Amino acid sequence: MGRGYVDTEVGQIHYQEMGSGEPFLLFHKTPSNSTHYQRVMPLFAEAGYRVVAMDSPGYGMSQSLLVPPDSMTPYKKAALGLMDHLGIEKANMLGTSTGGSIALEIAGNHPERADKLVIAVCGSCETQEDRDRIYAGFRAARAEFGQEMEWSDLDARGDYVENFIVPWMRHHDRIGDVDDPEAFLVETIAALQSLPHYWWTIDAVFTPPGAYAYFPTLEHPVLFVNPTGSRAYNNTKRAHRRVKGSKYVEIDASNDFALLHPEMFARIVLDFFSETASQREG
Amino acid sequence: MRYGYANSAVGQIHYRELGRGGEPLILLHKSPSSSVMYMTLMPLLAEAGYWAIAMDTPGFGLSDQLRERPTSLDPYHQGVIDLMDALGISRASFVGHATGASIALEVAGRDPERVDKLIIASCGACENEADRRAALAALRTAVNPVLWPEGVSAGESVAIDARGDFLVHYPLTNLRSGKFTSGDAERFNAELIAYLQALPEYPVWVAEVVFTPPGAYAYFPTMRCSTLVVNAVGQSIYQLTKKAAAAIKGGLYVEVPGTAEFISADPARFADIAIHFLRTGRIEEAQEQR
Repeated sequence: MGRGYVDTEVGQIHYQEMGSGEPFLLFHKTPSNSTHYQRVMPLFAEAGYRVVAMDSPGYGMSQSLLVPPDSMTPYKKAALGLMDHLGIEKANMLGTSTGGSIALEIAGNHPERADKLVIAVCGSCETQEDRDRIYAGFRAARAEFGQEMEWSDLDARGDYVENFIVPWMRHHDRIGDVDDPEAFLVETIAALQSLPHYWWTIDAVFTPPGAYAYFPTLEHPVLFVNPTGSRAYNNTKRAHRRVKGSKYVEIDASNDFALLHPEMFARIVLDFFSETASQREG
Repeated sequence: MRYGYANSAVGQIHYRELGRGGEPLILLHKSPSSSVMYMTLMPLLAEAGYWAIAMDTPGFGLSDQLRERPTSLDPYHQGVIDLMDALGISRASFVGHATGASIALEVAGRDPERVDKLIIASCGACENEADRRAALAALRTAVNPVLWPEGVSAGESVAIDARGDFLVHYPLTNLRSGKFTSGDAERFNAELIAYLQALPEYPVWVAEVVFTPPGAYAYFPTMRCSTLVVNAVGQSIYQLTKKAAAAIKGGLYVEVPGTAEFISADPARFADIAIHFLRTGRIEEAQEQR
């Protein structure tokens, strides 16, 4: 596994890379970073892909944006800058949640740079009502673990770790009750690194119409993966219905499936890739 | 601040840098922690014309963990040399804190031509077994009795669990132990991340080789570089640091208030002392508190 930095127009971008072959870019959810994919990357590399996982701006070690973005454009710029620097003209792309919105932003605006797309959880909201429903879900989840705190409310004693980070990591839509200390540690570090600008990306992802602007004209092979434990379950289902010819798989898992169920997830993705390839040949 | 990686025989070495083009000054951190401990000091050094390069020690921050457990400081020394080569630096001055000091002394002792001036901020080198026992006792009391209870060697890893209960014992207990008094939430969060990045092997690997006698005492009699020891009166290895300073022939010595976090608690004070020494090879009268 190699790691590195590239200079882009939105600052230094950090990434991890593994394997050689057909380029395959991975974009993470919020709040996380490229380590979210540390267990699936070797599986994709073994299957013959050059896997590159990007830290989105403001996450992991990638430089933060200077102002809150009003669209996914700066995240798209980061990804294209990374591709340019690595000499990748066109790549398969996999994105979880926020990462899916980044992949769709690239496919919608620069269709020639994207090949096959795996959208695992699609948070895009077609209308303001969709958006309101998602935000109500966020508030309800917080109420479940008794939290009023905002991500920006850091303190110099670490009370925010006990009062907010830990209960949230234990929540059923995350690591939950799975006995996986490494996953817990990886995601905790990633969450801490995302502070205090966690909401910046979220707000951009859920602004309507999001990827719905691109759905009618999207010509890429698309697979939607929908974990039943995700708050965006209905959004992902609806997005699949709007993308003509898209494939759809539901999995019994939380939002952290890439980390918690790497074999299952890799198999779904690789099956989709080989199916698409054989259709093209046929 | 810019970040990068250098390829090394001991894996990828991660570093942060500021002031490229200036005189190279390599900053080596204590353990746990990472190059992040120098985040507030680096701008002051860069402003004064230095190319401040803070390296993540192997196993910390984003540098690769060593492939096997070290029996000496060799692999850490190798990491520094490879980083210098990758950046085209033949000779640099160094700041090393605790573990970082032992690594810097290893470079000075073995490759004297690569080291210009050396600033030691806390030194955990142990001349003999008695020193080693004292060092471990001091750490148990001052750093984390939960992590290192009496009777447990420094060779135990931190046990992490899937519920986050470990976070209270490590690192929150350490970070709340009064060392961080600045009230700076962003610094706290950055240091917390560094402590977690050191898991799960900390404190085993580095601590054992740092405290193994005779450590840097093997180099003290023959060291040629100009050396300054800065000792914080409230830190757990105060006595060891003082002893090391006395053993370094021709070395200068300054005491400052503060704990093991004295550099980040008052970066301007440390920068003043360091820059004056780097420029003149001396310390100011006002700084002498011997």
